[in-house]
Amino acid sequence: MDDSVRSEQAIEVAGLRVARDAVVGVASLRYFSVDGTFAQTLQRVTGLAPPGVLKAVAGPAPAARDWILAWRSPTEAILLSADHKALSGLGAALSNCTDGCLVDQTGGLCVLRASGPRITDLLIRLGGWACVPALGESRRGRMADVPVLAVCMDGGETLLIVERVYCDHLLAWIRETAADLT
Amino acid sequence: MTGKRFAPPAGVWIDRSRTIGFTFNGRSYAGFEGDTLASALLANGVTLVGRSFKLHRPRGIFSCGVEEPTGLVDVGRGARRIPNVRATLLPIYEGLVAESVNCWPSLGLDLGALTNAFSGVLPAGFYYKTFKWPSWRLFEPAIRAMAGLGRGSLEHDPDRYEEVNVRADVLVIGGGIAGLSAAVRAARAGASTTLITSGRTLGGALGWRGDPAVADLAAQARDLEVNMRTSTMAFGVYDHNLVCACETLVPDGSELRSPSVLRERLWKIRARAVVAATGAFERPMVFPGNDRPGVMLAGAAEKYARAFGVACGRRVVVSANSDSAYPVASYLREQGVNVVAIVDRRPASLVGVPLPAGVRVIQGAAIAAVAGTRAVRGCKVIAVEGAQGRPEWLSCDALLSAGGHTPAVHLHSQAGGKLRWLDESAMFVPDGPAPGLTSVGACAGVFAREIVESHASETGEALARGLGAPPAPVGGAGRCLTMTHVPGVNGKQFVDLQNDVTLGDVALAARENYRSVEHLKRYTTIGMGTDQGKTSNINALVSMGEYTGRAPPEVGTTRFRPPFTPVTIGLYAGRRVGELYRPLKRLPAHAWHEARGALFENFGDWCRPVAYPRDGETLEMAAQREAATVRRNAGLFDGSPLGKLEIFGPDAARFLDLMYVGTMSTLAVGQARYGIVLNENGIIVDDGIVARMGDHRYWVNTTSAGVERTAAAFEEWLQCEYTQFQVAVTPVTSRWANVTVAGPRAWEWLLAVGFDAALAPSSMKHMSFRESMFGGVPLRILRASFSGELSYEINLPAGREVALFERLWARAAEFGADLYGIEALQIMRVEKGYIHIGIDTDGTTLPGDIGFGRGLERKAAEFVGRRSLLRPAARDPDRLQLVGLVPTDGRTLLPVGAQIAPGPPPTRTHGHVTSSYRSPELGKPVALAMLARGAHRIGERIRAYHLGTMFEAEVVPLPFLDPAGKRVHG
Repeated sequence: MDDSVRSEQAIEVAGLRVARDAVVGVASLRYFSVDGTFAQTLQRVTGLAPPGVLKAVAGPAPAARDWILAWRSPTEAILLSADHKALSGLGAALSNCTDGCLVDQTGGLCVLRASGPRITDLLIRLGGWACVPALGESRRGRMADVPVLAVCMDGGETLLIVERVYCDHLLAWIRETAADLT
Repeated sequence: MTGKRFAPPAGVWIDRSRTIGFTFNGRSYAGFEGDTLASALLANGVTLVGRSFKLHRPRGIFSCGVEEPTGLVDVGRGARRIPNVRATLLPIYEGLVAESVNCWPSLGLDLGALTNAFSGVLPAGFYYKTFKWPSWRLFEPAIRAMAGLGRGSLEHDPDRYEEVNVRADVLVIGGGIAGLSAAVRAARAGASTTLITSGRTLGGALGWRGDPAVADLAAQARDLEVNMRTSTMAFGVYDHNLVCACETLVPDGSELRSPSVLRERLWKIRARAVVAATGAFERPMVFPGNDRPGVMLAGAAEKYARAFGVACGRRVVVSANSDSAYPVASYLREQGVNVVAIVDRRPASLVGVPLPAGVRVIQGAAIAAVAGTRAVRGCKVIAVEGAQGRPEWLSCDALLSAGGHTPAVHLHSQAGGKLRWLDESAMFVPDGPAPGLTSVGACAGVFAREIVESHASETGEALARGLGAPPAPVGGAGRCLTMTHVPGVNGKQFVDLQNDVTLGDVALAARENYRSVEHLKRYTTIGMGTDQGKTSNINALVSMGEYTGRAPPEVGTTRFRPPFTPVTIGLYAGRRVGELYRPLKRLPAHAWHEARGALFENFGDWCRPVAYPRDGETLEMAAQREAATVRRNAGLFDGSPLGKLEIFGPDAARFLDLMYVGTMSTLAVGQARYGIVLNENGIIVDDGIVARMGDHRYWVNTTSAGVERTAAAFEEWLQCEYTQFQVAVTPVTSRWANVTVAGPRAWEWLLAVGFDAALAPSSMKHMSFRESMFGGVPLRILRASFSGELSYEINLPAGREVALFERLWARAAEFGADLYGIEALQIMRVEKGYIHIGIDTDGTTLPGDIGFGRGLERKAAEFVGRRSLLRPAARDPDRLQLVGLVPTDGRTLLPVGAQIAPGPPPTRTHGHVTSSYRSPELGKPVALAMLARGAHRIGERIRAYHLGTMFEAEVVPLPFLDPAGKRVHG
């Protein structure tokens, strides 16, 4: 877990920890082709191609977690990076593309980091089974009655990406649910 | 009857070493761990449990399960008082408090029982034809007060409920021998298998009969990692194999838990294949006095004996129409009960089991009367249909009823399955599998033990392998007569015990030509209530068939719908209570506004400041002051909820031309334009401002409430119609906060806090857009105005707005500026005649109705809704059109919703008032209205009517203020 995660908001029960990552930068990548100029520029800068359907990818150095790309729709991936300068640089590099664009969503989309063996127990209480991601998956679904993109990058952590206006609601729902996870 | 417990091994479900105290109707009793309230009451000799729904007749325990029609009690106290709990399902616990329902002042002396004396004037549907003079409403309160059952708590439910979503390859509903067999074989075939059962233990009827196969199958299921859940009642089968079930975590009404516990869990299980193994209910016999306490189902009496060790009577008569009566009689006799006789309605030729030794069997006979009011004292037996024998009275304290079986086909029916009538056993059984759901065991009409096991196993394996299930080998229930009642005898013969519906009521319905079973149900209330007719439906439709000359399959059954059993509202709500009732959007600067005295209200999904009242100010006073301040000097407004979209792509300009009545492709970079969004019917669904940020990039403001709707509409057009377009629609409402500075001194104020001089009104014109920086923060600034004043809508990344608010607020006094809320904004936009989508428009409003008809004339290109605007009806001059109204007395505020008409109602209206405020700037009330031919009625005096009051007003042109629009330019 990144030290920058705001611990004062963490929800912790046995086997589960959920905390808001207030540092990570978030962007929507919108593109009309997965092999055009936009995708090539993206790959050149981040080392990552647009992810396949329901896939999430990280890199170039997985341990460093420089970039995470999560599929959201056939024309959209969500990009996460704790390096805001690099995110701005990517935005600049992509700004001249006509087959795709980067829309900065930092502050608009919030990221919750959930870890622990009871993640699945939590997620099936927030929404349908279909929105629970397997390892390397990115699934968009309805949790706590709000739209959430759930991304599983390794066995121990799942990212819940939610609009800022719904974040407090989702956290409150998680807090109540976690309290009943006995 | 006095209570009695049989000696072990009877009572396999109770722990005699643990005594539990409870209270019923204020009196203390004791039972054993494992008892239900019903078994404990019967063990204590309590037969009178409650009063009936309509006639307040004494009622006792009738069954031993979910089908219980009469043994209903209110449980718990205060906030945890739960009404109409089935005593047959409620496990007792230390401190349990239960009360009878529908009786006053007491169960024994119930004044409501007087209605029984007047039952002759209270037949089925009496409220449709009696108590009409002088007025039904005169009698209605008293009748409603006397009817009904338990009383629920009016306090907030203190407990919690949750929802869990899971999936399975094979879901088995029912934990009896059939369900276990299916689950074991499905799991053995490699399917992820879940088994749920409403019982507290596995095994069903064979479980409490001590069958060793149950333990063996349960062990196999555990070894195969079948996910098994007890106390979990499947109550609904929905589309695509979604099964909903309620898991009971703590018993109803317990006060021992505090302050709040997780009470129930809603399981939503999506399965590839569903197996229903829900068993069957025993069908009661219909005879005069069959509702008396002490009359109960024979199978229930056996279950009370075997599972709870409870004797339901010492001298028992069994009224039979089924072979199942005989083993019950034998078992009870073995336990020392005096089985006085089996009174079998059938001729000897239909009996398929050996007659029990030592028990008198009277064949071809029926019960013609029951002695006793609050407890059975005896019954009269008569010969029927040609059988020989004299009427005789038998003394007994319990009368057991074994009319046959009714397979629990509810889930099969909910899944869309059809039924067929099995005449020899007088029951409806599934006619093949339902879509996605296969029935096994008794609920499939398969009653022979060995066949049940093999068929269920084969079904489990076939479904696990994705194959079709084998056909059900229906049979094994023996032969029953279709009709169980006795024609031509006196006395009330109850068909539906819970709703007090008698054979006479069914006959009356037939005489009044209610032939459909659905009409019968609604006319008589048969099959309604908490039991949903589990013990009454078959007898009802059989008797309906008899009275109308039809066989049961011709009469048919009512459609079984979810829920199978009553479900608490709390379970449906789950976590959605209090703060979690619905997701409420808060402004990023919510706390900042709160600290400055904002009064918040919910507008759509948003919690927004409506005004900032000062000491002693009402909301209206505050809004008047704020609006006047903005008009005079300047104001600061949080517009963050305003919908924001980024539209990108080589085809963005073409696409926006299609989406808006206005032409957006001609906008130069940095220009902005107002536009209206229509649906394909030409109806206005949203409006807003489109600004061009670059060659292929646009900034779109929608209404606050309409952004999701508009974004979804744009996506739908792109995905379904304009699929060749390269356009991306990205919602960014949450990303960007909005700080709006408006008023004649707005620019002075912004300049004072350090805004770039290039943003001055002289260089940045009304309806223009700039990207800028302020203190290192990127800004997107739009010169647009909903107030009619010089206005800067400053968009900046969410989280940065508080700093900007602080900087502006620190200098506000210098410019005579103040904060303003939604209410002041509403005043100002009405003064300017600006519409608010959904307030001034509705699902009929076309652009021409609000003065935007010229958009159609001026735009040559296609746009969504255009064709509909060309219809003659859309050009009808009599349509409602937006106008201004001012009261003729210059003082009276016109009520919103007031109907404009030439005379008082009932009169055809000419329109209605849509928005109305007092204008501080004009010193009089002003209103917007939609008025027929409004554009041609300027200067006309009209009348508006609201709640009996008439208002006079004059139709005036819009806007009320600054018609030249000088103010917005600064």
